[in-house]
Amino acid sequence: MSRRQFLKQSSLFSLGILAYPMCGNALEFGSKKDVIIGHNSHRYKVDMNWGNLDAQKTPVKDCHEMVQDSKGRIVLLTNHTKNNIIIYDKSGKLITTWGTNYPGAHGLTLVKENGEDFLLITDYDRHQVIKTTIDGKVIFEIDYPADTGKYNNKQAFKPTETTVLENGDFYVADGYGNQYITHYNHKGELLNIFGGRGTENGQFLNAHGICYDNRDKKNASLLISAREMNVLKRFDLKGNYVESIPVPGALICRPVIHKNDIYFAVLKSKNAPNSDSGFLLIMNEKNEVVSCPGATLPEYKNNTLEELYQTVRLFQHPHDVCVDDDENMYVAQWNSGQTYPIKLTRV
Amino acid sequence: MELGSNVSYKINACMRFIKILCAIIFILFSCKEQPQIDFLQQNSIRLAQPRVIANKTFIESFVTIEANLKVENVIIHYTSNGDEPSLKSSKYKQPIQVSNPGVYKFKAFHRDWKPSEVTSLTLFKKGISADTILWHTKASEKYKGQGDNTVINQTKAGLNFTDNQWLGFDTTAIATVKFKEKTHVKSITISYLNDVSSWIFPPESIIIFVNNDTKKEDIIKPLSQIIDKKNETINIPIGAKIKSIKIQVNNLQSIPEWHEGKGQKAWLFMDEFIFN
Repeated sequence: MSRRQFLKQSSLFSLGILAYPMCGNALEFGSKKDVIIGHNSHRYKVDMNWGNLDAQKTPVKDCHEMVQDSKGRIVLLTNHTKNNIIIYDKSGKLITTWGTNYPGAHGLTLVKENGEDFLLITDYDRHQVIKTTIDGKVIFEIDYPADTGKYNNKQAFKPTETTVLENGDFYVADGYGNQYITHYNHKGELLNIFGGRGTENGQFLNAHGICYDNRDKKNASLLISAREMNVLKRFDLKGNYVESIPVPGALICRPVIHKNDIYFAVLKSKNAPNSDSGFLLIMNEKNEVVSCPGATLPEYKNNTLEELYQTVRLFQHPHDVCVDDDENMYVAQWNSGQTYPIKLTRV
Repeated sequence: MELGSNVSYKINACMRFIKILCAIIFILFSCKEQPQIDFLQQNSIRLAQPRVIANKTFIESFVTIEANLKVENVIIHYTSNGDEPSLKSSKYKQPIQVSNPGVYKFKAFHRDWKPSEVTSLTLFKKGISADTILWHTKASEKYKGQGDNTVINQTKAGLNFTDNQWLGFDTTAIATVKFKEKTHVKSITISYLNDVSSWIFPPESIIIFVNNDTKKEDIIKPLSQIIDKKNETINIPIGAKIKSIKIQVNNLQSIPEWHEGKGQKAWLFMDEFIFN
């Protein structure tokens, strides 16, 4: 090797050394090890700093639910009445906020109508379902279904979630109230009611979440979580019970369908000594649990899923997940000390 | 020849300088375009507590304890003398058989994650069997366990208050326990659930009546914050030969200020009365 060649190489080498610190810790050696949670096809790195805002200006109480709107923005619903809706971009930068009169803001569903975005908000404190435009103008409000005779008064109706069909029909799950599922047309007129509190196949304890499942186009159905029972139940669109999918140990919140998979926040592990024992859960197109970020590896023995439980104290009480168009996930938490959502980057 | 090579050297040097400059600019820009995310580090997160299950909590001859935390490469250490387990404590390899009552503690360790908190398991010597129990106040309809005998069936409950080994009261609990024959009882241990996030508090006070004698025992000072749920016990000395004993356990009459249920009555959940 000539001296010149040597110099050339060594100068590039030292340049490389100099360049490393400029790129942050990407190439740093040492004990640092990024947390990777999840199993099989669904593994994630964790960004706890995503979406953190000035709590004096833009506070949160419980972060209940999140959706991604048609513009790709991340919409968060909190029960803090200074700003019930917080809209972020995917990098966690605040875009805008609105909403000051949703003290029991709980369920958030995106409705797309003729190219325009709307939101369905359930408020268990106001005992109402409210449809708004994406920037907060109220379209209609729905009170308890008095005519059905299933409710003695307004207070018994504490809706937790909604889901919308292609034709605009929507369903409301009364997960904190009398546990009925009500079916409305796009104008908000009542069509049907089913479910109710109980342990029968067609009944619920804590019907916390509901989701329209059209993965099988010929056989569209409803997935409804019975959180207290650690079961996901399937109904046809007329309200007939079809099947139960047990998730032992997991207090599942609402099902969120993204492509062919179903994603859940799990509020807590049934038999953990600590209450803040939540994790996440992902099912594949066959409704088999394939990954549990923050919890045990899902294993089936004799076709039965082994009890799932939190293994690392990362999540506190995850309450909803939102999967964006990059396959990354956002986690909203209940009762976590007023923390902002967590972003997970799929690896 | 010499001049020419000198010029080409200068051009080469110049080109090299430009190349390096370009490289620096490129690197600076690529850094800017892809901001590094400070991902969460493994050594900042704690493992969950190991799950510990004993086939019985009352020892007649021996009890088998199983500990588990389904995390790859996790190591569980344990102690049987009440000390906090360290890496030097006994390593858990397979279910262990123990014959001594006491407190067994388990803790999980991992090379990448922070160690877990401790899981404690208390094993009791099998006590004197009670014959009958008569309740003067009734357990709540929703939490009546296995019936009246739930607290003398020598079976402990899990930590979940829906476990049917719990008797739940929203009032004072008063019962009379009878033995088959007059028996010397050294002490009574009352086992209860402390799960304040579910509004289940330790009792406020306990009063014991034996042989026309009243013995009052006040409970631990009120809690000041939410803690992880626990199965706790209080031991009250008796030291008498008795045929029957009346036990009055008072639920907390006013939930403290810091709790969402402040001012209201707390629930009282008990799974066992143990006589020794």
